Amino acid sequence: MTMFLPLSSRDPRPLYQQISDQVREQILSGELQPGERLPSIRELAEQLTTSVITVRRAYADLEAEGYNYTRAGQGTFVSHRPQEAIRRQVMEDFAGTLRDVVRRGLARGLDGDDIREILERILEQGGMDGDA
Amino acid sequence: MTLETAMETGAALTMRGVSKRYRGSRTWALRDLSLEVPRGYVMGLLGKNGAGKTTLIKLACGLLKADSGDIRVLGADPERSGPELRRFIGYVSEAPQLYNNLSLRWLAGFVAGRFPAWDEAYFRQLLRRLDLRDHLGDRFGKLSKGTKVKFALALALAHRPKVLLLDEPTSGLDPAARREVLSVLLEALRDGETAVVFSSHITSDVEKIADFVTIIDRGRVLLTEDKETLLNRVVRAVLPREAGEWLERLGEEGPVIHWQMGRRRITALIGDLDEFEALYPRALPRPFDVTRMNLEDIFVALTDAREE
Repeated sequence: MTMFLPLSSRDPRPLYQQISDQVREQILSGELQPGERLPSIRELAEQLTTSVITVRRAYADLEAEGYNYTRAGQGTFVSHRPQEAIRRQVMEDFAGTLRDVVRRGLARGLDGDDIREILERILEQGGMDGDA
Repeated sequence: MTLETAMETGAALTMRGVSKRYRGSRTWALRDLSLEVPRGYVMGLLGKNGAGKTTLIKLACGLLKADSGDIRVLGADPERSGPELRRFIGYVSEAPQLYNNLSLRWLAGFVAGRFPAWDEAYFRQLLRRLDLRDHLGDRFGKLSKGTKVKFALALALAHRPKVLLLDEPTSGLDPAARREVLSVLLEALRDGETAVVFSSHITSDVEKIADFVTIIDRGRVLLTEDKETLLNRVVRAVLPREAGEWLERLGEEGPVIHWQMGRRRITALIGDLDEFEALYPRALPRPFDVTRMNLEDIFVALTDAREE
């Protein structure tokens, strides 16, 4: 099977993360169904013109998070996960992303109130671009 | 050990303490070089011109003799099992040399006859993918440098080698052709057995498809490790000015390659992020800001740091 996972060298995320983020998103959105077979590591590396080790890292991360599992000799498959577990995972991922952003803000001299204020404003705009 | 049994067990390429000095030269082309390329993976060799990349590849092919050290290709010594081993090696030199007056069609027939494992259907597919079909009637000498490399690559791949040793296989190619070459190489890896060693000064090509990276500088290995580890290890950090005193004490042997005190903060190039985080004093303000770099930045940072 061919997966459409556009990678960009301009994206600040490392390539393995661009892959795992997109596969995770496809699983969470239901684009990829539980039990569905994913391309093998080498197949996907070839499709994306990227290194085997990069795809391996992406698959290993997803497997550690419980999104997929590997059966020796058969391939890698999307896990069956209850809705609640998926929601918890989404929140955890989001918290991780937010933590990085908050850390950057703190390192640049913002304080908790500044960050809360910015977050409120973004939420008020419904996450759309607004005048900063 | 016979060539057959050695070939079933050995890594694609192993070099241990290899040194080479050309006759009449006072400097070492390679000095005490060690690396290993497992089967089924891509090793990218990075180095400035004259760093020793071509010498390394020629040694692996058995085209040059090392002054000391041990070289194994598929478990066998390329110098002693030369002709027999070469059936399993696909070699493309920086500037491929074939009979200039002969057509590509004739040359392909000639090479096909010399390799029992020649795969004609695969060769035709390569000609198509690498845009070589219109050139089959052309004489080799008439081709552009990039087309010569592509043709040599098609010849090297079509006999289904276990190890591909490629010297600058993407230089002189336009972006579309470069991408096609990289994709052809990844396809050859599909069996999980074939390994690729390629040198390049185009770091983005190495960053794209290499599983392992070796940086050579003036004949010595600066580093050889898997790419993902490397990209996580060497980073740029913005530190509070209070860290200056500690960085001063840390000195040159520590995990920091280079740092500079700015008006408001310190910018540092960190060679080993894990070690740096372990050593970073508790008393200093946290957090600090860390940014990943691309392979080109890392390459420049490491080779420049050595020149100072």
